[in-house]
Amino acid sequence: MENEATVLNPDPLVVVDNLKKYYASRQGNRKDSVVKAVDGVSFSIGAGKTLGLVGESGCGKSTTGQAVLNLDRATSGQVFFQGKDITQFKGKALRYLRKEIQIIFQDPYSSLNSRMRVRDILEEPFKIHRLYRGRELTAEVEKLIDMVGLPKNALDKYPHQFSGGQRQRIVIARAIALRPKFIVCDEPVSALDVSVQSQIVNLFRRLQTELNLTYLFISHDLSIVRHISDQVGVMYLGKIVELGDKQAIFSKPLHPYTKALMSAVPLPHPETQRNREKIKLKGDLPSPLNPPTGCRFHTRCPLAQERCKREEPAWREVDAKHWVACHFAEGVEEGVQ
Amino acid sequence: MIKPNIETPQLGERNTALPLREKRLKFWKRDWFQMLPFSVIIVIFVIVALAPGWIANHNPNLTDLAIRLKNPGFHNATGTYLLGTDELGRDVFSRVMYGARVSLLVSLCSVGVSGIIGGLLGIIAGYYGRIVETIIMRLADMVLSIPFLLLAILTVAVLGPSLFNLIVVLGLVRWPRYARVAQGKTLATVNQDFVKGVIALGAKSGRVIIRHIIPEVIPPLIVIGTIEVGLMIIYEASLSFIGLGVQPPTASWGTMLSEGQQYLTQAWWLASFPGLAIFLIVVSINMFGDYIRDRLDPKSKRR
Repeated sequence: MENEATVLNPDPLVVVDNLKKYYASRQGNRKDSVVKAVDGVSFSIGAGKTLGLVGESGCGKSTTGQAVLNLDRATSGQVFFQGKDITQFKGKALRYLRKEIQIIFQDPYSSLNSRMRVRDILEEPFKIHRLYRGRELTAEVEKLIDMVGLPKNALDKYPHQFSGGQRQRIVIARAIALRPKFIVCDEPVSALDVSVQSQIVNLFRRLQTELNLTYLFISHDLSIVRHISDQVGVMYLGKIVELGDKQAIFSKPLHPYTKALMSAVPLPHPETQRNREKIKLKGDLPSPLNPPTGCRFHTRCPLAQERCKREEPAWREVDAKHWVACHFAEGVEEGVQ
Repeated sequence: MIKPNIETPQLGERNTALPLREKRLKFWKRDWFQMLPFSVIIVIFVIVALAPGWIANHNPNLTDLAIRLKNPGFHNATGTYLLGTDELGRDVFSRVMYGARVSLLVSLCSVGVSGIIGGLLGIIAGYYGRIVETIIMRLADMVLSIPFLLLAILTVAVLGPSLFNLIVVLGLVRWPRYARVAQGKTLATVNQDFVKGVIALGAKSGRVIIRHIIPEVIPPLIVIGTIEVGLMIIYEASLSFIGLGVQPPTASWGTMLSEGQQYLTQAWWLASFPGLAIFLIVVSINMFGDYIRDRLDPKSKRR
């Protein structure tokens, strides 16, 4: 594993190496069209740390999350969890692995079976792995609901009797039931009210310290990623374009796409907001069916030159622990202003 | 899967206290009250089907050409003919009672057979997808494309006409309808996050199907089943009519309908009373099906 992943985290829990997920597209009469949803993604996450994965809709964030957990089998590449390549796991081994790795989905409304009481929902992980019975099981479930800050009487209600934030707490309770080490949070607060978002993010942080959890936190909201992450990866069209420590990314973004994302976050002060430099991206995300040649971002990049159309930028370490894929990373600071 | 980052509208905590207007409506919305007439009809139907002799006052197959085609209410020394007599002088009332047994047996059994076959095949097709789905669903299309009567004649020709064979034929012919609905519902359910979440917890396929998919698939199947019960009564009638179903002189509503239609201008009661019986039971079963579907849905207001 000779990549940035190992360099960023000397003792990683999860290492993703050149992960690819392609989908065959049968649209039209083109037989061999392939959607490269995730096209060579590598990163690592240290134990107890959080990697924030940002990018706009359709860039492959969620696909990455599901492929990392082997919920969606990767086309190629490897995912090492505690040193073992889990992309090859099948059957019993895979089911056993599920105790260690969990996922939380975006929509708390469809994440819970509406026909089951909360108690049954929370008992299910234990029943699947035959862990507790009778009184022990009840005690464990009550402990869970308490950990996510819901009252015990919530157990005998149905999911539809709860608000979005409360439902997401139930989803989190189920995800931590088996005491996993690693949780993929796939836009877990995007569907919630802003006021509830911070509560849930704080819950994630509290559980992280209490249970020593490692998160892959997928989001399109930079302020939330800034709040929760230790490291940040920026995805564009199936590739990570910038990766580094949170401070490095937020204080000195090197990729023009990262800069554009940052400038889209509103600033609290109206005057600074009015007077700041804003980078507006032209057009939409290109189709992953037919990604642009060279640098994938060149069609929308304010700095794009001839070279960007021909040559795919190399993945290089520009600053210490700050990786970027752009020909002009050093010039981003000046070039944009 | 790539998801659009659309903010889902927030639903607040539901108010559990009922407003006054709803309280007033509550009495009328009570399940038992709404369902009472239909439940009564179904219970009567089941009792009649199980023991027609308790209510019928004549032998349903006793012919007496001297009293053929008598009006409802006709009575002589042997007793009252409440719903009149048919072209062979048999008591229509008794025949309707005895016919209930055949109709209930054939319709419920064939709906059960086709519902179970179709439901299971549909779930398997929807869950496993790929080649399994192709085989099952194309098979369903094939069955649908074979003319029903042709298949019925074929089966009866091979197996011989009997009540059991009638049920087999109807079951084999009608399963694609359930299979299609079950497959669609399974596909929709499998793609929901809660199923993915359970798979992510390490659940085996069997658990996912039994605990999470079947409860989702059953309610729409029940609704189809209740509609099919009516259709099965009609199908039984048409098969009996061409001599492939219930053999005369055994009374069934279907055979009574088809025999009675020849005399419709002279004796309206021959076809009307079995028709009325079919109508009542089909409506009742449909209403009951809707009710069961609502009861199975925890989000329904009827609970």
